[in-house]
Amino acid sequence: MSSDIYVWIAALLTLAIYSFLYKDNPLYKAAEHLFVGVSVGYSIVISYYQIVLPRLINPIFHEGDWVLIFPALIGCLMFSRFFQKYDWLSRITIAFVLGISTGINLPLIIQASMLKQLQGTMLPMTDINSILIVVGVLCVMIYFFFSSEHKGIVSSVSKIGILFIMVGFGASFGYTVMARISLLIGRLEFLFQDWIPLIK
Amino acid sequence: MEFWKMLSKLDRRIIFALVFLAVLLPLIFKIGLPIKGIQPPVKAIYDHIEKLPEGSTVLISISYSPSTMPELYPMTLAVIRHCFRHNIKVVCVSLVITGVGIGEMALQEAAKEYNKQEGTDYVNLGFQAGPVTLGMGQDIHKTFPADYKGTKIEELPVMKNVRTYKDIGLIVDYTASGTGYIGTAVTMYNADLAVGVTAVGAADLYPYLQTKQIIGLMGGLRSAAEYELLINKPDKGCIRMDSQSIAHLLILVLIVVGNIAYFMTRSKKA
Repeated sequence: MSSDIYVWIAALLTLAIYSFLYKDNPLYKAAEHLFVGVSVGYSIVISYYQIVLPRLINPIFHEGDWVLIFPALIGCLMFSRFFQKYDWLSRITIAFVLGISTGINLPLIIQASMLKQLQGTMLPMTDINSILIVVGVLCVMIYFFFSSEHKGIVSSVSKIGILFIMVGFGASFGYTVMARISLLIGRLEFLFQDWIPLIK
Repeated sequence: MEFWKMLSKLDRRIIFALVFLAVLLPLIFKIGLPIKGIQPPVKAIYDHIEKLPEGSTVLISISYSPSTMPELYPMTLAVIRHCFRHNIKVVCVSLVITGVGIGEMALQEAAKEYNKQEGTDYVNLGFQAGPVTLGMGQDIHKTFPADYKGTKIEELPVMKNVRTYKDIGLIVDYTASGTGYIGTAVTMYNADLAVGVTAVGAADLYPYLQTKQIIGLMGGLRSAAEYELLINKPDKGCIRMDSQSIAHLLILVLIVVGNIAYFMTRSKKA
């Protein structure tokens, strides 16, 4: 067995998390809370050394870039949420973040995920893949069209749409199984290689 | 009939135990099941890097945390190894805080094997907050004024001729779900993008492959194993595929048996 104390801590925490598979218990809860706490702590330290120190504190105090005080103050307004009387001030910060991110992302999302995808659907139906894409998109769109009752031809087409949706769900399910098994492999490899050297 | 009834009421913990054994035993007693056929989206990434001239730069973006490392780390390492073997410079950035250490681990592991120098052949620029993928299109030096160890970007030879996406031969974004580069790097700056994603997220990215917004896609552990085979360096991806395949077989059997049990007990009720 490993003589590394960190490997032991990681292994015991892994077992504590997996104990949930049997049933919920205090060990699982303790490991879960520890994980959340450590993640937040790690994020704060990295954020400080990678962002706050080189992009705010050093420019203000060593390079004389005083203008950065204004965004810093706007950011600090988020802490007003700790004081009920002044928590409305945090809305200024939220408004800035929401406004900027919406302004940046909206045109890009429309272009990248809507227009380009529409373009990708307008295909000459010369091969089986193109036919499947065009027919699939049309049938699924009709399935999600609720302004007309699903009767007659609309009902038949929407049923074909359901088939396409089910194929999509099946592919996603298969990929999800693969992903979850991969994560289990990673953990078991750690437990039975680094902790108990069973795997050569 | 009693047998099918018993199966339909099987304790889920027995299934957990079976999956546990199906994963563990192939890791201990290596079977070496063949991995047949390379998927075209994986081959496309390999071919793109092969076509890049020596001295080009590939941007590796780590957008995942340690929780998805078993799937994404082998493919990260495989592409970095390919770049180093082909004398391509690697610039690593992280879009999530916990990705900084993962990028560093992969770079150091591959650099040791191919005798590459930090700062000259590769650099880890670390994490930055905000619209990073947009900022890099305007000026990488302003978006990342220093690498993650604090060395100023102007002092890094590897970054001398790398200022925007135009100077990058390929961006490879490793992500646990979607990629933030399609809207910015691809749409605004016409950069070439490949994505390495967990299997859960792979199905959602195929539409972008079809529209050629991404040049290649690696989805899950199987893609990692395929890339390792392409660069003739079988490693964790290939080793883990035995367990993956056996566990898939078990799940297939369980689905079939479960459905038979369901129909057998249902017909009895009817």
